[in-house]
Amino acid sequence: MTETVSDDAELDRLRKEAAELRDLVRALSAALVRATAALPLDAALALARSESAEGAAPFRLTEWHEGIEVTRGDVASEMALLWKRLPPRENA
Amino acid sequence: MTPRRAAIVVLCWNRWELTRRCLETLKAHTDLANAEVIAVDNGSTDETPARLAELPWVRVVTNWENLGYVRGNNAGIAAAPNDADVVLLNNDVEVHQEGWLDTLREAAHAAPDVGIVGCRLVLPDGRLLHAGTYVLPDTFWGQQIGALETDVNQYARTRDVEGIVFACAYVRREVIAKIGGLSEKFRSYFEDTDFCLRAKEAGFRTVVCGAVTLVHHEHGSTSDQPKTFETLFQESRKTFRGLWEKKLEARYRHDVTWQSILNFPTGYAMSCREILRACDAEGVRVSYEYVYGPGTPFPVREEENARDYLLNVLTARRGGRRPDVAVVYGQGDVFDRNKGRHRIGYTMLEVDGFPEEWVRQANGMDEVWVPSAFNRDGFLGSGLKKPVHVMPLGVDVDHFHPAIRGVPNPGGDFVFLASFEWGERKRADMILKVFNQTFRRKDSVVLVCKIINVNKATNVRAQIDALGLSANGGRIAFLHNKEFPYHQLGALYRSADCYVSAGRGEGWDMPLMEAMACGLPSIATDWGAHQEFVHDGISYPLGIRGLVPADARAPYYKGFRWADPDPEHLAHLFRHVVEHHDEAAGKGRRAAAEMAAKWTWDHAARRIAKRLEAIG
Repeated sequence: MTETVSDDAELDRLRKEAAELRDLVRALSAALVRATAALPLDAALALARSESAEGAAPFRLTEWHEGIEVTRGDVASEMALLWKRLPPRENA
Repeated sequence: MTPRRAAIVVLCWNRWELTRRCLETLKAHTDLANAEVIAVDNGSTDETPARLAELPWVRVVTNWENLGYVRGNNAGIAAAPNDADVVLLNNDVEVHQEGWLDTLREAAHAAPDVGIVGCRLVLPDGRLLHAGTYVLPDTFWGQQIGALETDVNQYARTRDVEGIVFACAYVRREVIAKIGGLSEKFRSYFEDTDFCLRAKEAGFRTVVCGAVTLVHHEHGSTSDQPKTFETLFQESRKTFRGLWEKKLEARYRHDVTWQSILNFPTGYAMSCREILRACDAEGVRVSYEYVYGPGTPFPVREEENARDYLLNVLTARRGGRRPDVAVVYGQGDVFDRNKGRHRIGYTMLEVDGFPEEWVRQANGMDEVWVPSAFNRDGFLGSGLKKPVHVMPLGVDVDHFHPAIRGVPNPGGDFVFLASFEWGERKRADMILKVFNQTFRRKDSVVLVCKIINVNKATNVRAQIDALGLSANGGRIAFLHNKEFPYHQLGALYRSADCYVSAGRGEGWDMPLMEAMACGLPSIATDWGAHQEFVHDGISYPLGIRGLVPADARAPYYKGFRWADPDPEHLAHLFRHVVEHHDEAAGKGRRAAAEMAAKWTWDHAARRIAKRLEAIG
């Protein structure tokens, strides 16, 4: 259901709420990266596999949240996570 | 030849725990065959005097009262043998690197005009704290280069700087013989920069030797006394300003207003930041103004804070006396906003010509700059009548070099990396399909795609799904809409083995240049502005099937052409690189050497300064 808002005060409230939600998503995303990066390789792979409906794909889009929001991250933690999520070669 | 003897002066004032850690780590990691340690006790009232007396390998100089940082260190310098170099080392520094002293000594004696050598300092949590210092005459507020960046081994080379902090300073005897010790016009703070500037006037360079990294706790003796710190700091700042204001102002030989974009994640903005930094170092006094905003093709206001001290100072200069020369660095349809008397438009584009409106505005300039011969020819072919100068961009070889620490693939797979904004120009569809078809899932090869998409009309996931990539084909990993701090990007490149840039056209291709500076072999389309710095000795040029109409959302491309990269050749190059590791690695090494030798931002700034000189 889409509600159209024209009242300025209401618009302002919704903008603030949207900004808060965006901040929350960023914080959750950063927390998720930190948590998963800290997992041992086997545990991270198991987690990725159990979540994945695309086990046969040559790539994983399970953590892909389509949108235009760009989140900041650290190369070290993001790359460590990426290597853990890499589809395994041995399952070919 | 016997190395020059060095006296390591450690100034102590109470806080024995700090001094103990400093001396213990110093002893554990220093060859003292050609060095001696002099601890200057600056009137400590704790256990320091008694503990120092228990260390037979330490010569103790006792000051019966706290003489302050400057006079305390000068007492140590005076106690050093008069044929020895002197190393000033704060007692809140820890040494964890074997051979650090020899490496600093070698850097100090690498050339007769090197006088002072500093090193990289990191905080105990691993963040970089210092890779040199600079002071701008606008503020007289000393800044540490690299401060608080995540340490990925940036600033690893030996390079000239304006100053260093004297938490660790290797000073050659010749400098002390010529200019004496620290100036006692200062009690604390600014005495180090003052010393470096005095040494420069005496003919000695100051360098930072990036091969040495020490840990600095930054527990200065006034760090827990904010009022004392503030008083000492402001007193020294005033003294420093009185001594150096005119001389620091005089280092600027040219004035220019630079109208551009700084605080957005765009190619123009990122390159603008580097140009401004390099121009300042090259003696160009830049005053920055935002060129876009309401009434322009990009009507968004720019945030004031560049999150960079130097850039904020350059921004704050606007409103002062307006220089004669103004450069608009951005798209050609904002050239009309140039506010100079001598007006320069500096731009680039990814196709074989320039839009009519850009050419109209360019013909209103006194001269036009483009980074490549590719763009010069395109502009002239589109009707440009004004003088056009090729002014190439550059690369930051302190943050992009082969010794940057990456995050290697633990599985040992060969890693291709492609980084781009999703769209028609970059041929992501071709790269993904060709890679997936060229390799098998069992192959020890992976493609990492860093994708940015900020267009809400585009569903990248759906487009990737629609490619119908094979489950048994080459494996691909995605970094989707992740933005990394600029200073960490080198670590991304160093996590890969080969960079792929297979797009239809480039206005410069900064990521390609950064990857090459990091020592990666690369596959790059053999058409576009990047041919200015790419050739087959240092890269794998990707053949094209010809030029095709530049059909894309961007309105600037309409009516022009760009390349049609050859997918069969891309497949061949993918296989060739994997099968010829050594050859590819050799190209990567040569690429890094060539970027450092010919294509740094310093080179770019020198060309700008030379052009400004000619303009007069």
